Amino acid sequence: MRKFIIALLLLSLGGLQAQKSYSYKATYHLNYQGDSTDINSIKSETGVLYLGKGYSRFSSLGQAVKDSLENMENPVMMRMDEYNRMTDFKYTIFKEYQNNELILAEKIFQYELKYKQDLKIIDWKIQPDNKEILGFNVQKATGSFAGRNYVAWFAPELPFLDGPYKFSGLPGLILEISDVRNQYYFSLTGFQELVDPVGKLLNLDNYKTISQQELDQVRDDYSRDPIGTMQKAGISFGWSAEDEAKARKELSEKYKKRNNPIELQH
Amino acid sequence: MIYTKQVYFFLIMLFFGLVGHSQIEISGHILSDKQEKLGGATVIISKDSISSILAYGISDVNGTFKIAVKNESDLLFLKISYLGYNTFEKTIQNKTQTLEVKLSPSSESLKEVLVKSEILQQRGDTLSFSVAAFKNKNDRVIGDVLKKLPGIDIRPDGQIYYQNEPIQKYYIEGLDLLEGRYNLANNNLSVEAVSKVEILENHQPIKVLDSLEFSERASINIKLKNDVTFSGTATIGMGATPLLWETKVTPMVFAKNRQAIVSYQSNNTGNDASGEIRNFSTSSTGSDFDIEKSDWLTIQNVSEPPFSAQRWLDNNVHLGSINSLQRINENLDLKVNISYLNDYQQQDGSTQTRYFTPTDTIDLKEQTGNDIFISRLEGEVTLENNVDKNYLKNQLEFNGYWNTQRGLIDRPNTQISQQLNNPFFGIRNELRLLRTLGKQLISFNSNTGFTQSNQDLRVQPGQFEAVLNNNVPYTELQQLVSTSKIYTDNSAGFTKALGKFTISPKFGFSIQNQQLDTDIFLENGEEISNTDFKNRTQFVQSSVYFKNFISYKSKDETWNLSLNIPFEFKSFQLEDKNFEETRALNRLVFEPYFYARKKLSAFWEVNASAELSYNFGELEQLYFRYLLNSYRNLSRYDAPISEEMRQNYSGGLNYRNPLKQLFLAASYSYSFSENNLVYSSTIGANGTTILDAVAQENSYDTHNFSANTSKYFRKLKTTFKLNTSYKLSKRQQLLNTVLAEVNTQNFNIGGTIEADILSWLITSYSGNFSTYRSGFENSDFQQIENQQHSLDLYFYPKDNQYLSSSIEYYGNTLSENGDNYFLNLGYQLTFKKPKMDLNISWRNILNTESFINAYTNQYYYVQSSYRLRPAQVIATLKFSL
Repeated sequence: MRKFIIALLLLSLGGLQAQKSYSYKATYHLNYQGDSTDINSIKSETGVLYLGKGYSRFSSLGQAVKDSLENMENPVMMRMDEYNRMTDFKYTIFKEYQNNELILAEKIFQYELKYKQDLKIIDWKIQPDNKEILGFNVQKATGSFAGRNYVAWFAPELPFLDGPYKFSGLPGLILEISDVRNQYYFSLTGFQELVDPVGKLLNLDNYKTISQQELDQVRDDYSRDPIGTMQKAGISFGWSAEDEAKARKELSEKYKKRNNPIELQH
Repeated sequence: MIYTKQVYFFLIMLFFGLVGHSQIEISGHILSDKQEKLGGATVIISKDSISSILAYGISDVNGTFKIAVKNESDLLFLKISYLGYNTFEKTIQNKTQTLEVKLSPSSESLKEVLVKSEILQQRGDTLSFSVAAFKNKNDRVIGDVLKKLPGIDIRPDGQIYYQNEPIQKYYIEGLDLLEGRYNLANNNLSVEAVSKVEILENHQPIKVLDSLEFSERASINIKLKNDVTFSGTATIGMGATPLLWETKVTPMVFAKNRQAIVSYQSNNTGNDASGEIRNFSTSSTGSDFDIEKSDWLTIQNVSEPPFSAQRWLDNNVHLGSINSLQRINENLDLKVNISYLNDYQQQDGSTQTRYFTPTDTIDLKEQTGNDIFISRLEGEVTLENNVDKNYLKNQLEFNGYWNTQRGLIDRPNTQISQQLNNPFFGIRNELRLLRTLGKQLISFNSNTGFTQSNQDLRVQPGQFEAVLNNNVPYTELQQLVSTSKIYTDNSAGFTKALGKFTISPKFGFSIQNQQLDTDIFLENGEEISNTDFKNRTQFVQSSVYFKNFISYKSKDETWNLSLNIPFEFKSFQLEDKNFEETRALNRLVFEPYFYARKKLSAFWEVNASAELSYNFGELEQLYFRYLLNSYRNLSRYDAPISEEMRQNYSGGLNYRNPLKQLFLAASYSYSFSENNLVYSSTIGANGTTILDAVAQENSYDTHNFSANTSKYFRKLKTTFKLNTSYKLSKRQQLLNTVLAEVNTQNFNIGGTIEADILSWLITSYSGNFSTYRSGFENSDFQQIENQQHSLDLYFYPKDNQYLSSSIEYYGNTLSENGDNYFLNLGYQLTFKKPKMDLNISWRNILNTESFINAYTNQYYYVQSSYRLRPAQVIATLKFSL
C-alpha cells in the first residue's frame, strides 16, 4: 500500500514535470543605478526565480504577479491590492538546460515579443574565496557578461545551475551577484520549497520571435517615446500641439536618465 | 623581434606547466537508480570535503561529464548533486579516470531561508510614487507632477488618463471630494503639500464589487504631508491692449473628516474658466435621460474659429465654486458642490450664405454683432454609503441658467435686432443601490428628473410677412416657448461570470412626459390666435425593457467578442389640445449589436461590427404647428411620429510593426437607414427657411473609408504620418417642393512631420487638405477646398526657460480673401526664490483682424468672418498660497 502511494506520488510528480512546474522559489533583492552619471539614482526591485528540474523562470515580482493574474481562469477572485504592484523590468526569462537555451519574453506596450539565446553566456572563473550568506556556504566566481565584470557567490549545497537574470552555469545557485562597479546588485532574500508547485504560466506561442537587438530596439523606442508609440497604435490623445511637445520633452528627459541598462553591449 | 618575444613567452609557459602537476581529466556518467541518464547534475572537485572548489562540471543530456583538474595533491574529493537525489561524495585519486555514478533518490528537502523584512516589502509594492522624486523646480501644482508619473496622461481639457483609460476616481486622502470635477484640485493643490501619489490600478471604488467585478480602470489617491493641510495657488496676470486681467485664487483645506476647496476666478483674456468645473464622471446608472439644457430658440451666430479660444473669445468671466465634504461616519460621506458662473461675451462677424435649390440659387449677406450674457448656477448634493455588503449612492443635482442674448444683424437694406431670454431650470435625483444576495449581486438604479424653461425671442422688424401678417410689413415678432419635462427611469439587474463568458441582464421601465406650449405675438403684443402658430403639445414616452449583454474573451486574448441583445417595448403618445387628432406609436424593438476582434499574428489584427438600431422622434421634431426657431427659420412637423431604422456595418484591419516602426490602419464602414419622413425646406428670397416634415418613405446611405500610416526613422529621429479619409453619402430632401437626391463627397488628406533632432529644439509641422463636393443627382453644384498648415517650434535654452513659437495658415478656395496667417510666441521663466512662474505670451502678432472660413452643408455654403482678439501681450505670475 505504501509503495502504491509512493508510486502514485511519483506519477503525479512526473505529470507535474511534464507541465513544467516549479517546485522552488528564490527571491532576490535588486539594487540598481538607473542613471550612470548619478550615484543617487539607485532604485530597488524584488526579483523571483522559480526553479524546476532543468528549467527556471525569472522575473521581477511585479511581473510575476501580473503573469499569474492574467493567466488565472477567473482573475476577478484576486483582491485588487495584490495586483497593485509595478516594475521597471517587464520581461520574464526562461532557462532550459536540456536545450541549453534561454528565452526572454516581454510584452512591450501591446506587442508580445521574445528572443532566444545560448544559455552559456559566461565563462566563469572559480575563485578560492568562501563566505556565508543566510546560512549557506558560498564560493566566489568571477566572469564577464555584456560589458560588465561580475562577482558571483554560489551555494554548492543548492544544486541548481541557476541565478537571477540571465546568470547561470555555476555548480550551485547564485545567491549574490554584482558587477564590479556595484551598479547592479542582486542578493538572495529568500529560498523556499513551494507547497503547491507553480505552473509555467506564460504561453509563449503568441510571442513573436525576434533578435535581441530588435527587442532592445523596440523597448528603447517605446521608452523614448511612449506617446508616439501609443498614437501609432491608433490611440488618439486630442492634445494641443503645445501640450504634446511639453509632455514629449518631459518624457525624453526621463528617458535620458535611464541610460544604464544591465547589458551594455551584446 | 615580436616573433622571438612570443616564442620566449611560450617557452616560459611550457616550463611552468611541466614543473607543476600535469593536468588530469576526470570524466564520468551519471545515472539514476532506474538507469535514467541524469543531465544537469553538478560535479564538484575539491581538495577535500571542506575546502573550496577546484573545478566543476555539469552533466549533459546523456548524463556524461568531463572535468579538467590541475592540482598537486594526491587525492581529490568528488561531489555530485542532483535535485531530488542524495548527494554522491567520494575521495578519488588525482589521475585521469572515468567514473560510473548511480544516484539514489532522496526525499530530503533543501534548507529554506526567508529574510523577514521581505514580506513587508512585497506588501508595500503598490503603485505609490513619492512626489519628491518626481518633482522638479518648475512644478507648482500636483497636476504638474501627476503628468510625469509613468502611465499618466493629462489631456488638454484636464481629464486624467492612466494607460489610456480615463481614471475613475480622484481621491484626496481617500476622500472623493470633487466627484468628476477634479481639475479644481489638480490645477490648484500646491505640490508642496503632497507627500505621495498612489495609483490604484484596477481600482474598484465600490466595496461590494471588489471581489466580484474586475475593474479595468485606475483611480488616483493624493496623500498629503500633514493631517490638517491648508494649501492652494494663486495666479495674477495683466496685459494689453485693451487692459487685460486674469486672476485666480483657490484656497483649500483638508482635515481627517472634512475637506473643502473654494475657488474664485476672473479674466477677460479669452480663458474659458468653465473648464475648471467640468465634470468628468460618467453617470453610474446608465440611464439615457438627463436634465441637459435644451435651446428651442437661438439668435443668429457666426461659427467659431477652429483654434484656441484665447485668440478669439471676447469674454469677461467670473467664476466661484465651493466644494465641501463631511465624513459622517466611517463609511458615510456627505458632499456639497456648488458653483456659479457669470460671463459676458461679445461676438462680431459676418456671413455670406448661398442656398442651392434644384431650380435656383439664393444669396444672403449678414453682418452679425452679438452680446451674450451667461449666468449659471449648478449644484450637487451627494450621499454615499460604501460598505462591504451593500452600496448606496444618492445624488441630487440642480442646474439653473438665466441667460440672455442680444443680436444685431446688418443686411444691405435692413437692420434686424434679436433679443432672446432663455432661462432654464432642471433638477434630478439619481440613486444606485447594490446588495449581495447570497453569492449574487443585485443592482438597482433609479433616475428621476424635472426640467422647465420659458424662453422668448423678439425680432425687430417682423419677419415672414407673407405667412404671419398677410404680406404687410410690421415692426415686431415675438416667439414664446414654455416647456417642461418630467421623467423616471428605473432598472434592476445583475452581472455574472460563467467561465470565459460574462452575462449582465437588466430589466427596467421608464416614462417621460413632456409639455410644449408655444405662441407667436406680433407688434404691440398682438397675439396670433390662428392655431397654425400655436402648439399645446403633450408627449408621453414609455418603455419596458430587457437588456442583455454577453461578452467573451479568449484566454490568450486572440478573440474578443461581445453581443448586446436589448428588447424594448416602446410606446409614444402625442396630443395637442387644439386638435382632435392624436398620434400614437407602439413598437417592440430589437436592437442587436455585435463586435468581434481577432488577433491574426503578432502584428496583424482585424475587427468587425454589425448593428441594428431604431430612432423615434423626439419632441424637438414633433410639434404640429409653426415655431420660430430663429429670426429666419420657421419649422413644424405636422406628420406622423418619425421612425428610423438604421443598419451599420464596419470592418478594420491593423498592422503594427514595432521593429520597423511602421504602423498601418485601414477601415471601412457602411450605414443604411430608412425613414418615414422627409424634410422639406422652402427657402425664401431673403434666406428665410420654412421647414416641414412630410410623410414619405426615404433612405440615406453612407460609405466611409479611412486609412493612416506612420513611420519613425530612428537615424533622423523623425516621425512621418499620413492619414486620409473619404466619405460618400446620399439622401433625399425636399427643396422648394422638388424632391432631390443630394449627394455629398468628402475627401481629406493630412500629414505630420515631428522631429526632435536637437535636445533643445522640437519641431513639428502638420498640413491638411480637404475637399467637399455636393450636388443633386448627376450635377455638382459646389466644391470647397480647405487647407491648413502649421509649424511649431519649441526651444529649451535652459532648464528654467521655455520658448514656443507657432506659425499657422488657413485657407479655402471659396472666399476671395480666404488666406489667414497667424504668428504666436510664448515664453516661460521659473524663479527658484521665491518660487514663481512667469509666463509671457504674445498672441496674434500679425494682428490679423478676422478669421475667414468657409464650410458647406448639403444644399448651402457659408463664408464667414469672425472678429479675432487683436495682437495682445499678457504676462501672468503663478505662485502657491
